[in-house]
Amino acid sequence: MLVAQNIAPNLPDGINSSATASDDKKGYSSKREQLIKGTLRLNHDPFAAATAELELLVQLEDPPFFSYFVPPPTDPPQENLLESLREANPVFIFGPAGSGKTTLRYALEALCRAVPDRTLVVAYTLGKTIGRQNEETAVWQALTEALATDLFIQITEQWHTLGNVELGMVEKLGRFWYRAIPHFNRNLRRHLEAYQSHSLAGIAAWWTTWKRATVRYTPLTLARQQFFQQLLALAETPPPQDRAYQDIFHQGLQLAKEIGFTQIYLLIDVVDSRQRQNNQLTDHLDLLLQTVNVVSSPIPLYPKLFLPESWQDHVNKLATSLDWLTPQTLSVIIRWDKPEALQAILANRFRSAGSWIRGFNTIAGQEIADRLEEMMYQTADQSPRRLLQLANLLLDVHANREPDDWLITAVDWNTMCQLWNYGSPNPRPMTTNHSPNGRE
Amino acid sequence: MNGKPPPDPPTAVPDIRRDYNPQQYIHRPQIQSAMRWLHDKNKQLLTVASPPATGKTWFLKKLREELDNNGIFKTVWIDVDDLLPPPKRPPGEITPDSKSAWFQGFFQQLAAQCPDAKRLKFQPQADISEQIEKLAKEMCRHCFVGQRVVLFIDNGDIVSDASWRLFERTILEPFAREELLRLVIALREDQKVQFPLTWRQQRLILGDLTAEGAPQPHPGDKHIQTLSQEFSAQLPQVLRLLEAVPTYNKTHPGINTFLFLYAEKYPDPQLSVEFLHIMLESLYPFSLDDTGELIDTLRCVADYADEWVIEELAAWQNVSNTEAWQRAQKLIDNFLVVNIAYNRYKVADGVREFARTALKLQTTVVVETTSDVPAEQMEQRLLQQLATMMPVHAENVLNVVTTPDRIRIALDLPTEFANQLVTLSLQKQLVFSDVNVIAVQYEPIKLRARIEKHFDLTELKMLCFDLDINYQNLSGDTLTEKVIELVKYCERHGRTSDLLAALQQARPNVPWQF
Repeated sequence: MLVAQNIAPNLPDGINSSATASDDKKGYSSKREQLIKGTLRLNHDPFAAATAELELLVQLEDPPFFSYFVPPPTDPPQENLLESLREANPVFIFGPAGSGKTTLRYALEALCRAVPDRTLVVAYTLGKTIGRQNEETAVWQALTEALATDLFIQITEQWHTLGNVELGMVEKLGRFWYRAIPHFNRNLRRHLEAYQSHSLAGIAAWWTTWKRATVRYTPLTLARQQFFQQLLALAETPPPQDRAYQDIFHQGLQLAKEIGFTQIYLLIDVVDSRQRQNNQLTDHLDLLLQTVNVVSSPIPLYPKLFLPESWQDHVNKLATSLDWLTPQTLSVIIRWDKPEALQAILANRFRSAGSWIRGFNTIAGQEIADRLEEMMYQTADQSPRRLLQLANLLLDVHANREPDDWLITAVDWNTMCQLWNYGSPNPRPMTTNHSPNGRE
Repeated sequence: MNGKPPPDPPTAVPDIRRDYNPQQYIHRPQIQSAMRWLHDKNKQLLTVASPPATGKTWFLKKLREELDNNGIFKTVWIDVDDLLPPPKRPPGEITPDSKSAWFQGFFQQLAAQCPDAKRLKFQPQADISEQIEKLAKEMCRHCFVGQRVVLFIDNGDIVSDASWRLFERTILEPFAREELLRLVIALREDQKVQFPLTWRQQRLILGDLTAEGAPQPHPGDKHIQTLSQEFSAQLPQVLRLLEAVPTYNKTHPGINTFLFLYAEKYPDPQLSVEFLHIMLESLYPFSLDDTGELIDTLRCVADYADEWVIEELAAWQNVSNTEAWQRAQKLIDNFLVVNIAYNRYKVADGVREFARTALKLQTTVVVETTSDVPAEQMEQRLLQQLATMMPVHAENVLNVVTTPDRIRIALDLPTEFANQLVTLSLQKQLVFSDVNVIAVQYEPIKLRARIEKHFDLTELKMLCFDLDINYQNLSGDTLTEKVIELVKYCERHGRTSDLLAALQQARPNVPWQF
């Protein structure tokens, strides 16, 4: 199984997540691993990363990330958020930093691909082109690459359901991908040559090359092999001149229709940015949405946006001017304002790691067993990211102190408080004048 | 319990996991939840979860029967056992060949039921998962038009985790891509489905036979009664076993069935360690390798308390917290112990009661009566009355102490009987015709054994120093002798509470208050 390296986030000074395990615990590469796999007996470290991008790198062939997923509570509440997101309407999801907007975007993308219904789902991250010359062209280029990549992957995933695809169609698709996806031929050839048939994901593990997650088993059947060989046999096509990307984008939309997709969901989220970049980002968004609005797409195209809460007013004005705010439009704000929702995040992670443990209170020393999670939720301040950063740091502190002991103590918590550098509110140190049963 | 031991070495009763006879079915309220699930369009899967041998197959078959009788449903059954190569022993591994052989049979069976069988063509060389995706579509959209297809998957708990994941990825997910198809999956409580199935599942915890409300007769009694119709010859032996475990409420379907099957195999069944071995190996086939070690730990946790924390287990077994945690993990892995909340655990219901009796765990209780007749006479009367409830004899009497207004009779009883007496007393239901029972309480008679377990001679010396008791004045040389003397000394001088306080301070994780 492929396992990505170096996914641990930057930890504060004084904590070394890869500190070597003690000599008598050979077989574990670090104290952290000794604690997680040896003592707690989790089959992987479910708290190693606090952002969706990093979490997807855990077990590339079968990422547990999607099984972690807990639908975020929203305002106004949505009973079946993912199903609502999947409806053919524009969607606006707002949320503070670390509230899980990107996770939600990945979840929708994964659902659309794992249980397909002729919807092509295209994922675009705003902000990655900031600072590049001729930003407008860069935006178009990135958008076209996103469309081409998703079209390639989803056609491959659904190849057996597409019927007979004529050679002429394969050639058109191939030329589009050669122009829009950098190093397409080289990467495809490399994967095909190195393919091993016993993979749990089949060829779906290849998708990480194109920064897409593995969401379903995709076998390398004879039909897919022939398809890839036909693509590789095509002559390399040079990349287009700057302004041509808009045309190629339109060409990609047309190909999506011809191959059988009936609608497109354009999922747009934003990389975390400093305030001074916000204006640039909203400018990009304006440009993107106005362009998408006027694109004469041959099949319906629905934008689904996952944006910072602070952009809400700006985006609402823009959406109104584009006539996108209809009664069917879904517009909600993510609000993790109930501890039960945060509790579900921790429980799901333990469960996904194959454990019966349902939360940190189960592995808390008796003197803090009735309040550890409560303090974690307070410190998280309604942010899943902060909660995971806290869990990660707490486990690291504990692993450094005593990886053989499963019990997290007030000492661990208080050490964690000293090392905390993820911003305010800071965690409050614990007092330990509790009775043995954990009650004052 | 003086009969002969089983004639053969302990072996599991193999039929415990067999398909249950539909006539044996005892109503479970979860069936209504399952019927409601059929109308929830957002939940394509129903996962029925419970520990092993609590009736998942039985429940699935009943649900299937209900749907088949309805007429608008077309049900299809997959037994994961059929995908395993022989020997089909859990946790099994699905191989490419065994999967391929199963699929060919499954496909042909379905094709034979499809009115337009030409639409379904088995392709031996094609990928199975892709064929399943097409098959699901054909079933729902062409073969069984006008019917709702429900796929039942049973015995998912007998394959390894890796094989289950493979099954999920390459068989379940392709089926689930057909939105018209509904799936009912039986899983162990600790097993799970993963993305994308997990997002569209409704989870149903089956648990034991305890019914909502208080239906009459009690579902446990009803199950025993139902089983006795099939195993009428074994009923007397089973009733004898049940009498010896009065606190077992008969709501564990696997244990109930096991009792009859055991009695069928061993005509003179005895509640012994061997019995417990066979019971656990029959109920939980995963514990085969180390049942003996598990029973040793089980003996300890069942002996001390109904609920406990890991630190207590460490103290009882005189091991480190880490070692205790690992032992508890093994018990949890093998379904013998459950985590209740936070760091609190208990032995699984049903197992706890049988373990206490089979391991002959004893607890002392003190029955306090009025002193209107001489102590000897009162003892006789009490024994006669108790004998109507449980097998109690003069040997069970530890001592009789008479005070001006009361007679205190200490009885060393099997833990289950002791618990029963205390419970009845607390509920004011211990009423005898000629014995006026004032109270029944646990007696700290185990104090001596517990001190011996947690202190050596040096530590005992320090304990005496803390209590300001001259250690040299305690007669005897061995730890046992010294401890006996210390306990007696404290009783004589009215300092038992001081002793308990000192013990609590020295070993805070050991329960010293009885």
